[in-house]
Amino acid sequence: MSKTQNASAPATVGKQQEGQAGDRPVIIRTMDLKKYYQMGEVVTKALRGIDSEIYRGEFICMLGPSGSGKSTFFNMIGGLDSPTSGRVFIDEVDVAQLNAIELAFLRCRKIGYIFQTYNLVQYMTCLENITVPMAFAGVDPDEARDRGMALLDLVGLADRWFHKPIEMSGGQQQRTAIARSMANNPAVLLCDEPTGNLDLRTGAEIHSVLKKLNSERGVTVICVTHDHRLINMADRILWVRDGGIERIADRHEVTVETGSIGGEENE
Amino acid sequence: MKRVEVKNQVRLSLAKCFELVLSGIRYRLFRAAITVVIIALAVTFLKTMLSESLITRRIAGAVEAKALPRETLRFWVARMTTGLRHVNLTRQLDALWEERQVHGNEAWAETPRAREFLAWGGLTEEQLKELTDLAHEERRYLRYFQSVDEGERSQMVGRARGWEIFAALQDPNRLQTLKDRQPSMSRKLTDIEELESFLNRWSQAMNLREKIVVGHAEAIAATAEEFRRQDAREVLAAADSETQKRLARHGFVLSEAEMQLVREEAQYSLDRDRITSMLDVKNGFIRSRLANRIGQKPMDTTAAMLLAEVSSSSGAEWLLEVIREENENTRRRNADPKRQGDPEPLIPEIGLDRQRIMEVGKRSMDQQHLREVEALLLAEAGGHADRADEEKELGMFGFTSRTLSLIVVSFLVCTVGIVNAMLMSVTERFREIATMKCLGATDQFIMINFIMESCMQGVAGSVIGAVLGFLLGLLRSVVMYGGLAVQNLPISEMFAAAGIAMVVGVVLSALAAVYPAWVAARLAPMEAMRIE
Repeated sequence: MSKTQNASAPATVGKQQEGQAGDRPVIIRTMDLKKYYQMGEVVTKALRGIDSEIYRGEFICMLGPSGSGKSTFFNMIGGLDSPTSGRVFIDEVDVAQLNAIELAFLRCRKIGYIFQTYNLVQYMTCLENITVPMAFAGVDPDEARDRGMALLDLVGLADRWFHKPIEMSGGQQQRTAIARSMANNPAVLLCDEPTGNLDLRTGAEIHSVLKKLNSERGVTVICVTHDHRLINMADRILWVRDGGIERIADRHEVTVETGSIGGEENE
Repeated sequence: MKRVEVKNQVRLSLAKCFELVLSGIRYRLFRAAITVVIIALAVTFLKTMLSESLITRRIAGAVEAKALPRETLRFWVARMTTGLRHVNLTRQLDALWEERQVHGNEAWAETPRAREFLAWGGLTEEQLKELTDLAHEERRYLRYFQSVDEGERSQMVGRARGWEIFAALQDPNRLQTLKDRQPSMSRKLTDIEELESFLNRWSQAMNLREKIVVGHAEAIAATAEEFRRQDAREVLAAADSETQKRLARHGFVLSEAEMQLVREEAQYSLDRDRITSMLDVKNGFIRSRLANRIGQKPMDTTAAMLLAEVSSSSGAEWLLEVIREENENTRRRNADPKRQGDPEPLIPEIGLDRQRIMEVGKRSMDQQHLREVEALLLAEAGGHADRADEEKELGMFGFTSRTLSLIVVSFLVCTVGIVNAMLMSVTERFREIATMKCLGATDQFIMINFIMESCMQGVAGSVIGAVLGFLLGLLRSVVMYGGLAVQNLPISEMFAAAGIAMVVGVVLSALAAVYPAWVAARLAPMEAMRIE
């Protein structure tokens, strides 16, 4: 599979970015991505063939009602699940071709994950949590500690490195989780409802950290979210419905208001 | 297309794994403790069984050694007074066969028993060898006939028992019946032709055996004459080199070692009888005094009670005092001029001083304890002396099949317990495991993680179990056998057994964790997204 073939693939949704594709490198590309689930006798078509491109350094928000295939799509581009057919390229690497260890390698260094429920390891301190992925990547413990502290500094928790998750607020835990996701300098940050469990104010802390990472470090951020303020920060917004991409729009093409977005959710 | 170059997806060092697992265990201390307790229980059980078995064995050996003088005396008294019966002769010949295996054919003919049989039967060495071979085979065949059940045995050999079976099988019809019935037996003879040839040789050897029996009977008569019909025990108690020569004249070979054993034992036996005979002198005068002293009814007092009483210094003094006092009183009454009729008889002199009476009393108590332990050991072996013999041959621990099945069941229960606990642990940690996988943990790491966790619990449980089992086994043995258990502690074997029990415990924990670890390792990383 050569790059030229990728470029010539039909990109129904990416037409308007065609011009940009030349100067902005693609970090994630999906081609005719399909995922079917066998539920007893019935085959559920979670994804019906998605073609999409996500560029390096973008901040993308994904929207869609539950059951739309949004989570499945998210798992696919995060290398967490393999497609029934079609291809997913993450940083030019075909995920479907990878074996278990290569996948672990990819998840460890290329992608950072942020979960709605933070998923910190309860019996480790803040700093230990952050150094876990570094240990998996074989980073020297002393260096890992220094890097971990630097990351904590970045998310503003340097003075809390010795706290256990249970001793921290939700916002602090989520910031720890963000620091953890950045442990091995990934190219992509995948966020699953990062502010879903947080109140408005702490949610805002998370927004600013994510934005900072995106703009200062050039990390591609992909968020599944319903948080309008987060959507407001996005470069592009992506609507998923019935296993396909319904619409892609640049931030300036839609109006984000408190309670509604560009008439889309008001139907 | 670019390939991922997997250079550095490190396998975490075991030390790091260990560290992670340890902090995980500390976090879930209660669950870990329960698993540890399960393992500890199973290992305790195994170790207790091992300890008891080892101690029992060691004690059995010690008891045998302690009972050696008694048994030697019994053996000598019996053979100096009673003729050989078929069963006895066979047993002795079989013992001789075993000696032949130990000493080899040359030195064997010089052993005391071989010399005796050669002399009594007027046999050649070859003939005696044949007899021992036959005796050994006879015992082997007897074991076979004892191992089949009653119904099957009567189908094969009718109502014959013991050596009569071989006499009955001399009848060709009987033998034919046995051959016909063989195929339907639950346990079969390996070689029926061998049995036939054995029966042949057996009947031919009968006259050789008869020669021994007759020669022995003549020797008994001649010996009795030689020693003027003295009690055999008295002969043996006073045995010296002269006695050895006089016995040898009639074929009895009393070796130096045997003489040492027997002399003291015979003297003790005689002295003990002297003391216990006191109970019944003068219409039970001493019996009633003893009953009074120890608070029993006269009819309930036994020789053992008297011996126990005189084993102390004051008790021995008391016995001598009673006899002296009563004899003085009797003399005074006899001297009374107004007295009519025959003079009252005196209590015969006991002929032992206080020190010796005490010694005999103590020794008799020791013997009593020894007999109790012997009875216990026999009961342990299921009441069969033969089975007890066989069990000695069952390797280091010699578990009975019942004990073995108990151990297996306990370990199955333990395994199920560990599997369950580990599965719970996996389900509880679904999200943690999945998150770890998102962070780059390999399946292998997860697997090692869980097996290591189980192993560590296994080590803790096994150590606790081994220590508990050690103490418990010791305690039970001490309760059963008393001081003998402490004196005969097989320390090194006990530690080896503890090691075995611990290894079994750890290996079991590791094996039990394989399935839960596999479940955990196969968990999809997207489980991390799930919200409960």
